[in-house]
Amino acid sequence: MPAANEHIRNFCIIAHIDHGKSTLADRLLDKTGTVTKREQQAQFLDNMELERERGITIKAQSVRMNYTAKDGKQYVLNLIDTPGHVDFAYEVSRSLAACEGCLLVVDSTQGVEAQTLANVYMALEHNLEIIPVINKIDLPSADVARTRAEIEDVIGIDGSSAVPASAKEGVGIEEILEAVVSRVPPPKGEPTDPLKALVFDSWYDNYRGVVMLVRVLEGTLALKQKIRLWSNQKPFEVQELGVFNPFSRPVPKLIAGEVGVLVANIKELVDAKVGDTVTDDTRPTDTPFPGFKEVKPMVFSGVFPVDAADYENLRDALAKLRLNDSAFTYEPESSTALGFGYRCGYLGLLHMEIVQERLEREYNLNLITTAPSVVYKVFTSGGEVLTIDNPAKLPPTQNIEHLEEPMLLCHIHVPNEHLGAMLKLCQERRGTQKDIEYLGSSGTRVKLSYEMPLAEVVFDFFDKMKSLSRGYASLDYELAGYSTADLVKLDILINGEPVDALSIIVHKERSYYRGREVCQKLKEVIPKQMFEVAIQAAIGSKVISRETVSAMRKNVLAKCYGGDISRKRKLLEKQKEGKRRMKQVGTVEIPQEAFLAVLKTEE
Amino acid sequence: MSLPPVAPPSAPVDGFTGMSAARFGLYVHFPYCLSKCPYCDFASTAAKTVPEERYTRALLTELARRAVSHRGRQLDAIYFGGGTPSLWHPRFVGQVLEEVARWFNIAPGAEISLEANPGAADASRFAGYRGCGINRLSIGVQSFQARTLKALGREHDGPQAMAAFDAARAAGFDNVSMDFIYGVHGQTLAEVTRDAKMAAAMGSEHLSAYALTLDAQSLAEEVPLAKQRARGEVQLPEDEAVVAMQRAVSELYEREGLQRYEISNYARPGFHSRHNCLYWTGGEYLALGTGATGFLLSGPHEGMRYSNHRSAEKYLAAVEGGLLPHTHPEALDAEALFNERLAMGLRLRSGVDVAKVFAAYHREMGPRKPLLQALVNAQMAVETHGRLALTPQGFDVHSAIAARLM
Repeated sequence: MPAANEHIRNFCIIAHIDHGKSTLADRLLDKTGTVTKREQQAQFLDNMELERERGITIKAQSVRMNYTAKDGKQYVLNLIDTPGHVDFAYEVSRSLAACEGCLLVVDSTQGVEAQTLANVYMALEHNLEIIPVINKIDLPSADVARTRAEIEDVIGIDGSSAVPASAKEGVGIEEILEAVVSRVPPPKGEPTDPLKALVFDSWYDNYRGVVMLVRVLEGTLALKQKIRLWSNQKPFEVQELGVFNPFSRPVPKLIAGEVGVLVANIKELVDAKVGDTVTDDTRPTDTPFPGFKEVKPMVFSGVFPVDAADYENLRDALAKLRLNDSAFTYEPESSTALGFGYRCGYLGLLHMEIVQERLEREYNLNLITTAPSVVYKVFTSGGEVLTIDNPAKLPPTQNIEHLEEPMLLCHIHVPNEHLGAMLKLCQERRGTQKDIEYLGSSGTRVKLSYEMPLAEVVFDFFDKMKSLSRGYASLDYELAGYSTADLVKLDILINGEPVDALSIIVHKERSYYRGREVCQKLKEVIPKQMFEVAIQAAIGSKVISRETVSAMRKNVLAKCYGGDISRKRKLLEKQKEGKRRMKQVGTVEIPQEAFLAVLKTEE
Repeated sequence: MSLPPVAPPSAPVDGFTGMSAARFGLYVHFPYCLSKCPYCDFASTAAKTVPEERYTRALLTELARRAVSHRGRQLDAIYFGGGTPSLWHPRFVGQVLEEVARWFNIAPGAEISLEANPGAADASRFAGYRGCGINRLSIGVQSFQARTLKALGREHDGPQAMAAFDAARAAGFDNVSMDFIYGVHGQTLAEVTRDAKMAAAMGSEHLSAYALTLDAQSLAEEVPLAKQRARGEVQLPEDEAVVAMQRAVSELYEREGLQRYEISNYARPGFHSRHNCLYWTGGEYLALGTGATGFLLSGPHEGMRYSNHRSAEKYLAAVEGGLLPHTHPEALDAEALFNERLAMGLRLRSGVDVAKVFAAYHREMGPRKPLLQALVNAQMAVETHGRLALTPQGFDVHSAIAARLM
């Protein structure tokens, strides 16, 4: 008798942005009759407005499709969608762990793009069967043969096994489905064994509480079952099980190999963390799924309402956002310059941008975000160790014995031709080379391992790396403890007054350069005011750089008679309205973007 | 030989600014011109033959409609603007004034101005205007320099302008104003200074000097010069140069005894325009004629502003059809009135009693105090007689200051 899960295939799609992942997913749903024409909505899987706009997936999704293959048998295909950015690398790895195979979509007009490589390597690490799909073959500039060669050369998998397709035109879709059935292995696992299920995504639903997406690895999940979450050993009862095809449909059980939704009266998202293992309360597994980590924010920034009256609204919005994003943290903060706000923690800069955009868009708030900071350890001369995630809170220099900053061990895959640029970048970012390894038969790819300060990596390293390698380098990193560094606090003074929200912690060697750069950037973004504005960068009491925004020269309506005063008044009212979007610091009006200006470096 | 001193017009004193300014005035607009000036955004119609009689009839009809609810009220000033009111025969202007006198109580000493073009034909009518009751003439000289006049599309020349001034004096006008424009494309600081010197030497009681404005937002309609500027055909001097021109003009005038009493206006002691000052002190004004804007209060914190049709044809048709020639009057609430009182008051050299304005409209002044102090510290404003008055540096950025105090 064949195994109960012989007919199941779990797979995901890895693709570069714009290479057609969403279109392909739509075609697969279409072909298997999962989505009727009427329900079809372009790019079904990206359901958050922000995701669709940015073309990135933040939350994992999964859809169950029924497919009758050419061998005449019925199969259940679970398509698991994965987030697509280095900030969410951990979530990606958990999604991949829920699969046995993946479709690697390569644009036949563009070739292999590096952004996908990190995910391909991750897929290889999880021993997934990779089925390359050469997409967009309908375009005149498509070059299937060259794309096949590139797949062999760059990725190192058999290019002849690639399926040519055009998701847009619906070409090759059946071949892809057949390849999934024949090449992706069925899941292992016995429905009768002790329960072991992997949580690969979770979110908060206003009506049902916490909803988890799980992959059952061993055993069976059934309604009313008493379950336990491994990381916190908390017991819960299964209330609801379901699959998406594509809308949620209840099922009585999920057996080993199946993917679905689990609702178990869990009130808080922190109790259902991605990567955790769900097991049976009375007959637990003895081997939880390995590799669980607590995803912790690595970057912190202040978030303040432009209008102080919005403080309460900001608090409510943060609380709601937190329900749906357990990787994000917040606590009250107050700034001399910006008043009351919150210190928020994020996985990385993209995550920070997403949070800020959601707050502004979904909650209609006008916010100022300060420059992000990592968490430093301060060893005081009094023998204390403080952890500081806000430069403004750094004790005076004379009270600091030394400072330590968080380090990363970074693995960078880069084609040989961009190696020089990459070595230079890592050097500039205070990296220490740990390893260099030539990969593949021809040695055209290099794997670099560098130990680098987190502060140097989280900000714009990823973007810099991409642009220096024309997109071909990929980055993967792990935390590597703390290391002593010669750091100083760079203060920014506006008209002689320090603005706490503009302080940053920088490496001493680069402090003069950074000070100059920040002053120049601020000069660009602070508009001319009625008075001259002096922008200074200082370390301790020593001013190291100064720029001046000259006062506006002329801003007056020459002719003001004839009675039509309404027109003139409205012009002034409009000007006044424009000022409202700026933050008043002393008598200086500072636009929102100035507080992030310290980030935008142009080297 | 020194001339006997002339008596300036009289008007009540505004408590917020200390300016003697009309509290209730009448503005009469005459829209017709012989040609359209490419920088002018006032309602004007270029016409070969001006329908003077028809327009006068319509205007008197409108007067009767609008004056009925103000019958007997004291009128502190009257202003005939345009367009080119000196294309309007004194006979008709006299007719209008007679009719106005029937409806209102024209205050003794009321300033009654008329804008005049400096052409020879216009000058021949000056005595007629003086005779029918006009006591102040405002001549649109703009410049004495041929180059600048050409750039502005003006049809007269410098000598004609001087002749017009002499004609005004000869006609018995002892209160004459001249308008000038600076910051014109191609104009140099030396040319501006020369204009100012000549103007001051002529001994007029009042001078206006406006920076040429082509900024779309500030204008009531898109003017030809603004279009040319957008196409890059015309380039105005840089802000820095315009400010230097302004300084040259005001320093020269002040030396000659003409005080800068408003951002763009200068007068010998007592000769500031009582009518124009009502715009800067929240005074009420009835308005008649094409494109004219009127403003009336219905309570201390409530007002209404209406603007007549800008097209002469549309205006005539409405009035002759028995309708009021405006649509959609604007209701002004306390906030709008406060904003205007503050912003307009700051245009005056006298300054404005900011605390009094805030109190009168029940606004909280506390949050503005640091800015007020900063303005004084930066010498953009001074405190005088309990009023806040902008300095020349402050005037340069009047909009920015007003927008922040509002």
